[in-house]
Amino acid sequence: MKELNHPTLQAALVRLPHYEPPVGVWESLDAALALDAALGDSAQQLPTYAPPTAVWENIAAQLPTARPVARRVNLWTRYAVAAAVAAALFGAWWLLRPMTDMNASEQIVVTQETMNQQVVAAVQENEDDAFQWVENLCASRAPVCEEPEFKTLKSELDELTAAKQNLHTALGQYGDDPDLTTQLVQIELARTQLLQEMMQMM
Amino acid sequence: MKNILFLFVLFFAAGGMAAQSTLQVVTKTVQKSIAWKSGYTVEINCEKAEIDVEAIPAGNNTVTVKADLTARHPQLDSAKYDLAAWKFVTSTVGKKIYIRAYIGLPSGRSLPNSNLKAKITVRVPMECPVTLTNKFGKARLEHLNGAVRLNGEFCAFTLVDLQGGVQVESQYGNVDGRQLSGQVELQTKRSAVALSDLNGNCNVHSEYGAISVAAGAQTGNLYIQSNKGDVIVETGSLPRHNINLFATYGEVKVPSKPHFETGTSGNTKQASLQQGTGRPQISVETTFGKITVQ
Repeated sequence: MKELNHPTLQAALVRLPHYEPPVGVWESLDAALALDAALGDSAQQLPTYAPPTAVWENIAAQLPTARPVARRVNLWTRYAVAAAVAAALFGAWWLLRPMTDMNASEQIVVTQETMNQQVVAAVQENEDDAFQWVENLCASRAPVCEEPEFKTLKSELDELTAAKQNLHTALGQYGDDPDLTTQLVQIELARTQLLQEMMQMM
Repeated sequence: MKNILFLFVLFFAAGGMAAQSTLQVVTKTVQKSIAWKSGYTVEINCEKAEIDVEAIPAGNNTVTVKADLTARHPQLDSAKYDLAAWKFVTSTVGKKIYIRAYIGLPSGRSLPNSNLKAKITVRVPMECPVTLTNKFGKARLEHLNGAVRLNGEFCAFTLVDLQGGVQVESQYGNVDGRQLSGQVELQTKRSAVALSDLNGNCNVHSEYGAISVAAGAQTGNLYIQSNKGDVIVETGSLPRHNINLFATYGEVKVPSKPHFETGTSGNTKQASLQQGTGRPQISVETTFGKITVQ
């Protein structure tokens, strides 16, 4: 490649400082080269000795174990391993799978029932206004609502009201289950009892 | 003319009311049999279900389930549509056989308008332990030798001839038990409890519920703790047990014979019958409840 700034480079080289080696450097180098040449000749004349077998065995024992060289696995072997793994996974799934039923049958039938109006009426009875009145009272932060005993009663009432609502939801619009309705009536009786106790505190 | 019109109106109104009180009931019946091995347990998890668990003769290693899933609505189409909300699943995972009946709705679908109910009959080998959870319904278990664990909310339990111990947690669901052996543990809230023919130890912890227990000759130690509920213990005229009764803010009523030592300590009324060491104990503690021994 042609140097584009040749004159500049030449000028810079000329301006570089010049150094002389210290005295005796060349003599030392010459003496070292002569010694190497002399040893090389002597080494050729040294006798040769074979070490005892035990020496190599000891050395071999101290050497770190060589890692086995990975064998080249052919394609068919890889397929076989993959198939074995797949079979093992399938076996595990087979043992742990949700078992299917031994046998199952299913049918759908339509019939008619007459709704028990008396039960349904009990379920769908409107909430007494007095309960809402207590709610409004406590919402307006009436002093009685802050009394510990009243709070306990109110907490109990709230629990029962939640239970009543759960039952209502479970029964739905067409629920006429006598047992659940009886439970509903018992809850309503307990709520009424609580309401009376709360009223007496006002 | 007006009379005829009035009759027409009356006729259609009556027809409408009749239609309202008649429900179309669509029932899907599913029957399944599931292989059972010794060491397997059955776990039943349902809602709005009336569940019967019965024993099958020894040697029959099969659990059978029959589920009648119903949707009730005045309109047949609505009942049919809502029936699809019922999900009934049985599966065996490890050593547990699961039986589930629940209302499963895809996201975005509104709650069914129909009244949904399930009647499920499960027949298990006698020694099979059973775990049952149910909401809004009832459950009856009888003639089982395996351990029974029950959890219910608004679910009445009827337990007959259970020999492998019983553990019950119930809210708003009465518990009626007869011929119960092994350890009986009840934890109830707003539930009435009635127990008889107990053949082992029994602990009852109750809140807001009446308790009645018949302690016979075979009954072991009986411990009842009741908060805001009355307790009746029937021992007969010759009680086998030593008895200790404590009613805080309540009353204690005992028979004149045998003679009970009675007393009061603060707000607690006490009564005690000690007939010698080595006898099983009946211990009843109530708060805001009356204790009656008869």
